[in-house]
Amino acid sequence: MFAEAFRRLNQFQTQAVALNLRQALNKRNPEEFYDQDLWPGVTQLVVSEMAKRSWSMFRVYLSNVAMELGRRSNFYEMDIPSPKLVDDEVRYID
Amino acid sequence: MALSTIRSHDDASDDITEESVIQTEEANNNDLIQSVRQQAKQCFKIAQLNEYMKAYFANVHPLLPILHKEAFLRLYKLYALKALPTEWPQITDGSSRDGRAVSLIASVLALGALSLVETRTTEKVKNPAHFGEALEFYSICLKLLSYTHDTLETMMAYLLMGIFAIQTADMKGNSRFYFCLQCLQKLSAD
Repeated sequence: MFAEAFRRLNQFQTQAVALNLRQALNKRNPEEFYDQDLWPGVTQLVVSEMAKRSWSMFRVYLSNVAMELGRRSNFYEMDIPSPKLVDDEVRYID
Repeated sequence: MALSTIRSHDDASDDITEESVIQTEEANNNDLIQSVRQQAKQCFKIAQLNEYMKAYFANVHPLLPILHKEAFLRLYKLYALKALPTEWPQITDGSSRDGRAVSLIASVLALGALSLVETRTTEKVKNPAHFGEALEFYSICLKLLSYTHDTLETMMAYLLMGIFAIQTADMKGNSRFYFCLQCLQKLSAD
């Protein structure tokens, strides 16, 4: 069941990355994901605040789910070794 | 020679076992899908939808202050009718404006329905009082979000769906509940 939750949160993250959410929030410019027809009479500030809260809640729940699944929520702390240097120099065989 | 005979016999029995396992899995999946279909309950009245929306803001919103209530109510007033079972199947997917709005509304209603507890009966029941309705709204979300564009509304719907799944996972010892959600993915593919 937590795997199902992880799947949904992963889809959230995918969309957040595609929307460049963090950068938009830092710039306080949520115009890219604001649709006046869907949110009539709602200011950009409110939409921006909802997006910000969604992001913070996502982080909380992702860490909860990761803990339940026994994984680290941060990709950079997954202890995955960095790629090894490859000797790609071309040598001619005589 | 004897060894090879035994091996070939083992291979044949493995094949039979694999086939029977596949058949059993298919049968179980069918049963599970049937059980979800039995559990899911459609809501044909807007009054019932309003009740779940109120339940969300009364029981869930204080713990999950994601949505701005006034802002959401404006969206809800415009698109709530499209979340009814007679209307939402006409929406192709979550890429349209209707699809985006209805998927967000359905995710809110799923959590709202899940938060409602039956207080009138004293006997212990396995599932929450409005579990069937919650399941139906969750499956609406899954079906609509099978294809979607990257938008704020669908993003928030995914978050609420994730929280719905976490909430159901917390209810331990309820195997039917667990299986129902596991096979919702398969239902959405139908």
